[in-house]
Amino acid sequence: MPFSVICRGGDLCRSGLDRRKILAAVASNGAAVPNVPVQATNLDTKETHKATSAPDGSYNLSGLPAGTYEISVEYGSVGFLPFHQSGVPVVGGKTTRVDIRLDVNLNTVGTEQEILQRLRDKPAPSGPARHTSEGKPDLSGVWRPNQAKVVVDGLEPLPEAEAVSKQRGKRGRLTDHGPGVCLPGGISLASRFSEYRVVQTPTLIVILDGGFNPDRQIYLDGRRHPKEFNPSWMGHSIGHWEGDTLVVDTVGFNDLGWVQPSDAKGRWPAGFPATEKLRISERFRRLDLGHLEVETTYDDASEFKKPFTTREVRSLAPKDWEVLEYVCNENEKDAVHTHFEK
Amino acid sequence: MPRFLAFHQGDVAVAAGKAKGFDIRLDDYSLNTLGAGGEQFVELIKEQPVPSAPTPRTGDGKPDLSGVWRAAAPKLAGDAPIGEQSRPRPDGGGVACLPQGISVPTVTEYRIVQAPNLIVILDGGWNPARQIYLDDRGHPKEFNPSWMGHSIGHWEGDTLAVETAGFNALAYLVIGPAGVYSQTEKLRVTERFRRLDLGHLEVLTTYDDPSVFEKPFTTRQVRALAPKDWEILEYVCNKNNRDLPHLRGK
Repeated sequence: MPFSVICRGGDLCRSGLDRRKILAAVASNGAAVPNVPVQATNLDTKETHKATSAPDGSYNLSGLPAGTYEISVEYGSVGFLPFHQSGVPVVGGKTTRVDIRLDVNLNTVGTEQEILQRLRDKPAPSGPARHTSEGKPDLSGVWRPNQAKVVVDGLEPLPEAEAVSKQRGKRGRLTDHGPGVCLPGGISLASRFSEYRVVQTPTLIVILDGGFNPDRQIYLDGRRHPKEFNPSWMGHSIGHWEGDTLVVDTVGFNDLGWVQPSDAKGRWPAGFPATEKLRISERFRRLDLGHLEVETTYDDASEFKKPFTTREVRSLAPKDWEVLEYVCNENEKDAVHTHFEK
Repeated sequence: MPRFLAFHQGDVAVAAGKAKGFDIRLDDYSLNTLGAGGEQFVELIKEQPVPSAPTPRTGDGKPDLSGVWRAAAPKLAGDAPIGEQSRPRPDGGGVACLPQGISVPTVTEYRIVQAPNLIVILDGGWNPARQIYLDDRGHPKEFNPSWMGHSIGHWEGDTLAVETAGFNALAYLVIGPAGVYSQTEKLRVTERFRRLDLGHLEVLTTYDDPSVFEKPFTTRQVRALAPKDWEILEYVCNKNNRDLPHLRGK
C-alpha cells in the first residue's frame, strides 16, 4: 500500500493515480511516510520544485513547466536511503505519477523490513506503576521506543552545528556515523530505534541497549562525577530520585558521537556534533505500568544557542521480548563500504 | 595471566671466581596498550586488600552477589577435561573485536548487578553483558545461538545455580592450563556462584559437551572484591583498533 505523490504536468498538479501523468508515491514498508521533502529538478534548467508529503503520504508538486525531471528525496543519513529517479517526463496537461519507495536504511531487518514492521504498534499493558520494596518507582522492564511521539522543544543549533548536520544529511548514508562501522550511536540515538532494558537496584541502575550502544551504568550511591573524565560514548551518569522521578546527570562524553534528536513530525535532522562539553540531563518517570516518560535536555553552548529538550514516552514491551546480545562485528559487511570521520 | 616477550642477551662474560649481577626485565606483551613497561597492568594484577566481613544480603534475604569482582585464574576441580584441543583462529576473538566467550572473563573483572528477578554481569573486557533470568522461565525451545548463551538461574540455599545453553560455535573454551577447546552449539555450562564472605566470590563452572569432552569437568575460581574506586568502564573495542589489519588467519 504505497502512498502516492502526484504531480500534474503543465502548470498545475493534482492528485491521482493515472499512470500517464507524473505522480510519485513514496512508500516504506507499506506505511505512509509524512513530511518527506520531495524535490523535482528540471534536468535542463536545473530549476527545482519542492513539496512535502502529507499525513497520508501523498504529495503534490505543482506548477512544473514541461520538461524532463529528476525526482529525489534526501532524507537524512539515518532512517531512509536517499531516492532518485531521473528521466521523469512532464508533459503539458497530463499528470505523471512517480511512486517513491523509501528503503529503510537498516539492511539487516529483512528485504521487506517485515521485522521492523512487527516492532510497531504493539499495545502496552495498563495498570498502576509498580514500586520496589524500598518504595521507589520500579523502572525495570524492556522499554520500546516510540518515535512517532517524540517531541523536540527549543532546538536552535548554532550555524556551525547546523552546517555539519546538513552536510551529514546530504551524504545520505551511514558514512561518518558510528553504527555504520560498529561503533556506538550515543544516548540520543537510543530514543530512535532501540528498545532497552532498565535494570534497577537501590544504588545502581543499568540500561542494556538493544542496539548499538554500550551498557549504561547510572550510579545512585551519592557519588559525584570524577574530576577528570575518561571521555566515553555514553558518558558518566549519576542519578537521584526527586519524588517519583529519576533525575540523571551525564557528562564526560567523547566527541565522536552525534546528537540526533528524534522528531515526531518526521523531521529527522542528521546528527549535530557531540562534544566533550555536552551535558545531558534526563528525567525518567513511569507514568503507569505500561509507559515510561523520558525527558532529555541537551546542553552544549558550543553547538546550541540554548539547552533543548526532547520528550518521549516508551511502551513496556510484550512479555516475551528480550534485549538480545548484539555483536556488531560478527559477520559485519558494511564497514568496508564506508568510513568513519569525526 | 601476563605473558612476556622472550628475552635474550648475548656476550655475557662470566669470569672464574666472580659473582655477576644480571637483571632481566621482562616485557609484558599481553596488553600492549597499558604503558611501555606494563606498569598499569602490574598494578592491576597485584594483590589488593580485600575487606573481610560476613556475606551481605539483599532485602529479600538472598546473598547479595553485587559488586565489581576481580579476575581470578580458574583451577580444575576434579578431573581434567578429556577431548581434542583446538587452536583458535589468529584473526578471531578479541583481536577482531569479537567476544571471548563465557570461559574467558577469568582475565577481566566484572560487575554483578543483582535485582530480584534478574542478574546482570557486566564484563570489563570483550564480552557482551550477560542476563541471568531468575523468574522461573525455562530455556527457549529454539535458540538464537549467541556468544554468551541463554542463562537461567535459581537459588539453592545460598548458592546461585545458573544453567546456560544456546551458545554459538564461534568462541573457544579457554580452560587455563588444561588447554583450549572448541565451543559448539551442544555446550551446556552450569555455574554455581557463592559469596564466601564480603570480599570473596567462589564460582564453580561445569562444562558439558559430549561432542568435545568425554565427560563433564569443573573449574573453580575465587574472585576478590575490587577496591571501592574500581569501575567497569565502557569498552568500545572498534575504537582505534589497530590490530586487525595485521592479523589475517586462514
